[in-house]
Amino acid sequence: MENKMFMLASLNCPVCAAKLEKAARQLPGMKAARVEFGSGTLHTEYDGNLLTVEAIRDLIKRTGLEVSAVVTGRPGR
Amino acid sequence: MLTVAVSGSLVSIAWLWRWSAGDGGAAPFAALMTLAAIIAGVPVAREAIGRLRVRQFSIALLVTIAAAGALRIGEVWEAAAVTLLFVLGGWLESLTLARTRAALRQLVDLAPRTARVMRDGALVVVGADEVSPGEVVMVLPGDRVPVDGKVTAGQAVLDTAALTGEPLPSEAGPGDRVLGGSISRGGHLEVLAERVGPDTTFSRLIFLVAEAQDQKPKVQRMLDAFARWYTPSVIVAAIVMLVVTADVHLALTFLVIACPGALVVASPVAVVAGLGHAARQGILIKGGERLERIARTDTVAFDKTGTLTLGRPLVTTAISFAGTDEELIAYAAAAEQRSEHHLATAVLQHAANLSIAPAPADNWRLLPGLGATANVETATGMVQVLVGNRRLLAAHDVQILPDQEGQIAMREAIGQTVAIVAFGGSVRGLLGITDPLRPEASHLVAALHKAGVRHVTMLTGDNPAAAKRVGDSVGIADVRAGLLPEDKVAAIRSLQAEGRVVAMIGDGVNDAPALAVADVSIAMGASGTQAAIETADVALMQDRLGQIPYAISLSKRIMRVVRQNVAFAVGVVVILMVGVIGKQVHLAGGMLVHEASVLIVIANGMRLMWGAGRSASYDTSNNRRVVTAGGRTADQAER
Repeated sequence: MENKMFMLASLNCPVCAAKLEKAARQLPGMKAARVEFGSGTLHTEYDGNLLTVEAIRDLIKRTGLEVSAVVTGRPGR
Repeated sequence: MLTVAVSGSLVSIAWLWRWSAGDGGAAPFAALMTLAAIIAGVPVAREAIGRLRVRQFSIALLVTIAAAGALRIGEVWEAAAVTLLFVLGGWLESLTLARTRAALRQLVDLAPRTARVMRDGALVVVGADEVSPGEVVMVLPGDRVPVDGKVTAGQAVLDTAALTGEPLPSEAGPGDRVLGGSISRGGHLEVLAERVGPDTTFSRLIFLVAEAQDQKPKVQRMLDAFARWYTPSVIVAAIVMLVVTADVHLALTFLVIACPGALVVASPVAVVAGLGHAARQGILIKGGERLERIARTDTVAFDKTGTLTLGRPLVTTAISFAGTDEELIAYAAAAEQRSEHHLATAVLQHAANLSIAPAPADNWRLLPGLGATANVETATGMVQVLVGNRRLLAAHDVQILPDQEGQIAMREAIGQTVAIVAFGGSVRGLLGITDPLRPEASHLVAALHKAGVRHVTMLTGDNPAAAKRVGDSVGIADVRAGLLPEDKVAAIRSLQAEGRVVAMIGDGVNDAPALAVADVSIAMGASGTQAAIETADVALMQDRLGQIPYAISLSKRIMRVVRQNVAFAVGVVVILMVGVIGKQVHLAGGMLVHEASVLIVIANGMRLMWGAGRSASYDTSNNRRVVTAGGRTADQAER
């Protein structure tokens, strides 16, 4: 199980945040996804065999947002 | 921001051209305006559509329809104006959000990315996350230490500011523990990795900061709630007008006039100006959404040590009941070596002043609210040394003899904090520690009352006598002493249960949980822990207590201006809409009034930049400050 936090550059639109969260949750292998508007971050927990960081990055780009950094966390937070 | 700049420039150029070229400038005017409207309009339309997809009616939708309509009937200036105003408001709002997120960004940027690891006899460069505990990493000058670990060889000067807030670099050599994220300013180190990747202190700090920003309840943007009924109502009204009067121009005029340009700008302009003004005085308020809570504060809880006092306690008495004073200090210092607590620092400083080296020790244990213990090498071999308060001794079944108790009580009665030193089952001595009061503390309570705070309380883990002494000097009657960290949390909860909005001020050493529970957390920036500073709602970078009442009244003032702006903006729109319906107001005149209202709202917000009052008016130190007519201040030290 992987735990990664994606920092999103210029997340100004709460609706875009909701869209991203919904789309992220539907990715195969994604166990939990949460967009936090206050800190501008996407928290993810996923199965490393089914999903990769690149796939999540692609999704973020497709919703029109930019990834400024990826931070690894401890699974189960 | 680019959109605002480009669109704004086009609009300005268009107006200038027209004024200078007279009627000959009509065509370029129209072209430039149309271009500006489209450039600003595209992102607005995108937002409108995006929100429609999740079934939300928004101001963006209204603006899009109005702008499209205005272009259709040839009113190019109006189209440009409504779109420009909307993106301007959005940009201002992003500024307030950026401030909130800046702290997290900075931390992430400082995180170590690579590590030099010794593997199979060769030095390889890998990702910082890929080091395993037990491996040895090399840290060269300029490198960021990639792991938490212990130095096995070498010597270096490390900058730990990002983690500890400690501005002065410190030396690290064999046996010292280093933290991932510190930067080597010179020297070479070999470090045995203990905690790597997400387990390092630095990584946990990042998540702590991110979580702190997430935990505060998100206030739904006022504008979104407003738009949910406003936009459909306006659209319906416009359609009705169209059907009833068959006057397209009228209906479109109504739509354009109804676009609340001033409303979109009303809140962010005041917040940005107010936060900027505060920041210039060293008061960091972490985001616009917290202002309302800060403004409603009616109760303030102070941590004692490090907040009301300087947090630079000094050992003023050292008494040994058995053995020499030197031994007492050497053993006490040995036990306190790993403690971050202010009292431990005093003990270590005292030992250093007397050139007494801490005795060799290991197996340190820090017990919050009680003290510290360690296995120390004494004259009679390795023993467990206890340094702390009565509770610590009770927990280890050590009795305090009557005359020892008398000595301790005597010191406490004069306001000292006593660190009792015990080993081998008996009390061996005491260290009396005094912590000077901050100079601004004396008039603090009065200033707080002036800012609207009704109740002030002190929460401390220190003994009741020392706490009462400080409380009396400062004017705080509600003093709660001898508190463990969880007792502080309970105290805040009980105040909140009475319906109060509680602000807690601390430096994070022993009050981090209480800071997290309080409605408003305020950290002392210069002397607080980095975690407290990063996660608090307000950070006082200059550590001046007088800034607290100021921060509260500034927040109140910002909220007041926001409310004024909103009321004014709504009022103007309502009047104009009635005017359009009554055919008294036409598009050009209506827009003019509209633009004027926007300028008024912006000007009202900008007042906060220079604002009536500075933190100096709450300054309780002995420097007198003179406020001149222009609102500027000059220092006049009273010497």
